[in-house]
Amino acid sequence: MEGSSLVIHVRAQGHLKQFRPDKQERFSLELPAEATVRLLIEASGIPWDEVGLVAVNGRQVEESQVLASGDDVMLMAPMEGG
Amino acid sequence: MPLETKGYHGKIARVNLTTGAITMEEPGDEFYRTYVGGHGFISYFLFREVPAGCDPLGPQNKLVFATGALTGLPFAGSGRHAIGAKSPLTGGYGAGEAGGFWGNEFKRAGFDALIVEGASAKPVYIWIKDGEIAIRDAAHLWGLECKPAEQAVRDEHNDQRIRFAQIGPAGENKVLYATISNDLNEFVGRGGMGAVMGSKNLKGVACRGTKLPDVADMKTILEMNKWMATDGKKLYAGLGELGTAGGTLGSSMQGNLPTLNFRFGHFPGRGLPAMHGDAPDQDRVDATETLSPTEACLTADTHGGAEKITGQTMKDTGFLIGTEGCFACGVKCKRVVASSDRYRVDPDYGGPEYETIGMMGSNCGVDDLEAVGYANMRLGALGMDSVSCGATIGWAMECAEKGLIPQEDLDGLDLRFGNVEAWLEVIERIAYRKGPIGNLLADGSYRAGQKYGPEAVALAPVVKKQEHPAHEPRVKHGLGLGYMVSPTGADHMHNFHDTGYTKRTTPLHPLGITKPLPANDLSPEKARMVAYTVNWRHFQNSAIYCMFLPWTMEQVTDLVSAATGWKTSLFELIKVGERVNTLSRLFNLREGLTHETDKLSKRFLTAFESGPLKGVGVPEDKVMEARRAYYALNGWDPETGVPTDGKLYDLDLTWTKRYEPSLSSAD
Repeated sequence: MEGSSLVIHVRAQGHLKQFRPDKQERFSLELPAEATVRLLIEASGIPWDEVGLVAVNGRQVEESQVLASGDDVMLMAPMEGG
Repeated sequence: MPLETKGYHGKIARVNLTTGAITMEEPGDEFYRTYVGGHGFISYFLFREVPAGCDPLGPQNKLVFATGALTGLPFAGSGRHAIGAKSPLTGGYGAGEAGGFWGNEFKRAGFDALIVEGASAKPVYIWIKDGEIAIRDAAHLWGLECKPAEQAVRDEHNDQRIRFAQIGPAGENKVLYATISNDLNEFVGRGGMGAVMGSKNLKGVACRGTKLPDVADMKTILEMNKWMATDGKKLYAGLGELGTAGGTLGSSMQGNLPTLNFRFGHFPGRGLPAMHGDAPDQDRVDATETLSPTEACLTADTHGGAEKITGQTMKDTGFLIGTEGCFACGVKCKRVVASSDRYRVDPDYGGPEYETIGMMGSNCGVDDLEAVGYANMRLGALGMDSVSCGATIGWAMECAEKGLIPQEDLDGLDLRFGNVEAWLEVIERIAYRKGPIGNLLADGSYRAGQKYGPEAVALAPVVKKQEHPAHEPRVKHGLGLGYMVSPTGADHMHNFHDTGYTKRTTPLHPLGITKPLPANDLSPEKARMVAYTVNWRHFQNSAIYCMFLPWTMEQVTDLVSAATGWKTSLFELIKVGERVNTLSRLFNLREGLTHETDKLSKRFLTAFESGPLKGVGVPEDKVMEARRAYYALNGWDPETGVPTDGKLYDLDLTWTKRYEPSLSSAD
């Protein structure tokens, strides 16, 4: 429906890009209005449990976060230790 | 009687540096099956042989080098060994693990462990080759940094494949957090094991070996390794791509990144690049150009500083020029970074891991990745733990900014957060105990704080006088509990990371833990999760293999059976870990480290002033209640943490009662 879809810019850090069809780290997704982070992850093709942390516009968010058009989303793999 | 158990040589070497005696022991099947290796061997020998109350830097302390059933076998993660002694930093049980190639080489040289006792009158190193051991003069090595020392030993024997576990100048000068490193970029980092080695006038242990012990079922080991290199590969792909450093930015966003002496958990930056596209996005640049690091942290809930030092930036900027792996491992999580005109970095020392980035970088207010890479190299060359060193410098910077350390004691150094010049200079002074500030900080933040009173002590981020690694108890409350009860003081290597179990608990299913819990939960259910995980970690550090490899508990059980020929079970293996946990606790109790030392420092009980977790501190009443639950779960008295008789029966540790309440004999 015109005017009700969102364009979201995504960066999949590290190995998460391997789950994308073109293996590109940066991509955009068009999602329906009121789409959540969870829906974005599902639409991206990246397995949900591979994603350790999500940031929208530089801030960590929960997966229930509702997105707005133009949002920058960063998907990061879980990482512990070192 | 020859050893029936496979996977071991059945031989433990003992070198007395006072007398020069070199002896061999063959402790038999029961010993191997009960203690397995690594921390199991270390806790056993330290409890039996190190007199209570002895000076950790005196000849009565003993230094134990230990491999395990899995060390050196041809599968990913097996390139690990452990080293332990009474810690000069904590005064209690000390031990750490390292990867690389030394453990494999030592095992191939014909021994399962090496106990070093006494102290040499002059610098020496131990040379081990295919079952033969010699004490060699090290006068020409003493004072050398790690790379030239390793090269000199290889040249001396005309063998470039020698592996050398060694101390640098920091160990020689008995810095209380000096490391024992191998392959120049792997470290037994925590607890000052390098200072113990230095106190014995021992520069290093050089190994060359060609024979692994027989294993029971090599076919299974090779098949499992093939699985990890193919189907299992996707499970560790992220670690290979960005290394542990890849977690830095996310860590800041969670409020987990140690920043400015753990006062903050997020690291705003100055002039950060845009998150998308090449040109900086002006709307997203932190307005912190004119602010001090402290002011920036107080006013900006952003992460530009973290973004400048994270693993993704390391890759994007070309600073990352290669990756390296340990023996038999294809993960290649280790970084190799570039040299530049500003900072000449020798790639042989590797690049910074997450711990070094967090502790030397954000914790000291430094957001210059190349500078952090250079500091990482200097710490490697000098042989110092980047965790305790970064925490101690960060502590000194906060104390200096608050006027708790008077100017005259700073010996001309402008120890402000983010001052790279002073930060690099103080590293050198600490390693050589040069001048009053170098000598002071070489003893760690807690002891240095004692000179300046309770307010300075309260800012020391320690448990049992050992500094916290780069993981934040205010984010992961279960990890905080783990720090409190750890036998080595604040330590993440046998701990629990709550954030890994908030969505699912799959790795813990074999132990019957099925319910995910929030990271800030401190219920008895969380204490159970921590207790089970910690005991499994103690087993992992006994077996000994790398916990970055996603081997399941069932697979590890199969690997141990294939190596040893035991028809073992997960039950038996986790009991080994539990035994190590309880035995190391008994060691600490004998040294006077009671439940009174099982507590977090005030900093972590205090709420964050700003950032993603503004207002959040570790609730003291809840974490103390969780400690009671943890004690009870381990079969220790819920109030005093003293293991009950029932638990000693359970773990076959009743022999330890013969050594109570204390040892007064020297040998």
